[in-house]
Amino acid sequence: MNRSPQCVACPDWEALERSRDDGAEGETAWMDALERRHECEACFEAALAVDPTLLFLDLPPVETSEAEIAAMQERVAISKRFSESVAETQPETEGRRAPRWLAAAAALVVIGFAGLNQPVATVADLSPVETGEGSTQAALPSGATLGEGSVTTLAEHLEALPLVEDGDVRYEVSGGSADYAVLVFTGVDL
Amino acid sequence: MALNLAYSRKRHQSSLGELSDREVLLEIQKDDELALDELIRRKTGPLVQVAYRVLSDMEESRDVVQIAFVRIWEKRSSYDPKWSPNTWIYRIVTNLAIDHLRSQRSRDRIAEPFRLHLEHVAAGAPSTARRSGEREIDGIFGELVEVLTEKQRAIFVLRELEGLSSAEVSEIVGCKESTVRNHLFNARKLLRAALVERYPEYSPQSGELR
Repeated sequence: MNRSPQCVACPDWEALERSRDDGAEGETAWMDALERRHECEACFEAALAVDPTLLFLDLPPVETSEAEIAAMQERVAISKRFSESVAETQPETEGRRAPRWLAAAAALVVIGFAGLNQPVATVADLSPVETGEGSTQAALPSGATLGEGSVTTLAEHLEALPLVEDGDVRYEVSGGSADYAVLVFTGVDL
Repeated sequence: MALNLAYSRKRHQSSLGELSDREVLLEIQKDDELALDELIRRKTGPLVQVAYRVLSDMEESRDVVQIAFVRIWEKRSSYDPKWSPNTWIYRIVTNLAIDHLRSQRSRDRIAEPFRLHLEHVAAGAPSTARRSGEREIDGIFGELVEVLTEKQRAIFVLRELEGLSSAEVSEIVGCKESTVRNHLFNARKLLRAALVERYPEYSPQSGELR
């Protein structure tokens, strides 16, 4: 790299560095100075001294050949066809994702508040338990309740929510002053 | 007939090459698969580069970019031409890369005891080229970037290495500009400390960096 030993007016790199995160003006001044850092050896070294991570600005570009681009086009076409064929066999899932997640968030809030400042049942084993027909039930002790005066168990509470389906896994954690439930939706594709 | 179709396809491909990125995305919205091919032709290089800087693994980067193109196709109807095409596309890739890192870290946590065992075994062996200065800066960055969180990593790559403005980065990662600057400040601080500690020979004060 050909650099002149000293440029006409080297910028004050320390001042530029101090103000680079202050706003758009400082950022622009820093970037303008950076663009010229290779023109002068003194600038290059002064810039690196105030910020050694500038070393990484000169990383070699990642080269992509025509063959790699053609391979990517092919891979994308195959993935696209696959996801379209999956979508055709499961047409109902797309419209249901967002509402299910909203409902899941709402369920967690409801359950969290329901357990506040009330005695809670502690679940010793967090492993989900198979209950037959492909459905998995939370490891909730028989008769355990969400709190004093409540007649609804956590499992029943979750069961009543429209978002929970067979095959979904529910975990319950009790501790301190709150109950938490974690729902794992096996049908949700992220 | 077949010849006519091939000719018409070739002509269409050629005309797509003259469109702007925004116009190509609008063609994709019309279910034009050749337009998607054109986008792949234009963006594979830059997107693999961003993903690689974030993930430090070329194969995983290609996988992420592949998923991103499929996602672009699936979400084509949601693209609004008001938005900068690059911002929209980079946002998809960056989010996928961050998700990938998170799931990778989660897997790494599970494998932690095994990793510690391997480190313990390796500790007996002499360290070879690690500090010899032979290692490329590319490799050093790949190692040091591990000290950053997923978001810090993505923001550092987009802002510092890709040269996007804080405003663009804030749109891509979906947070305020002030938050972007805050993440950047912390990312640089962590990287500097790691660089000086692990690779003092690359610190300008040592006088060896030329």
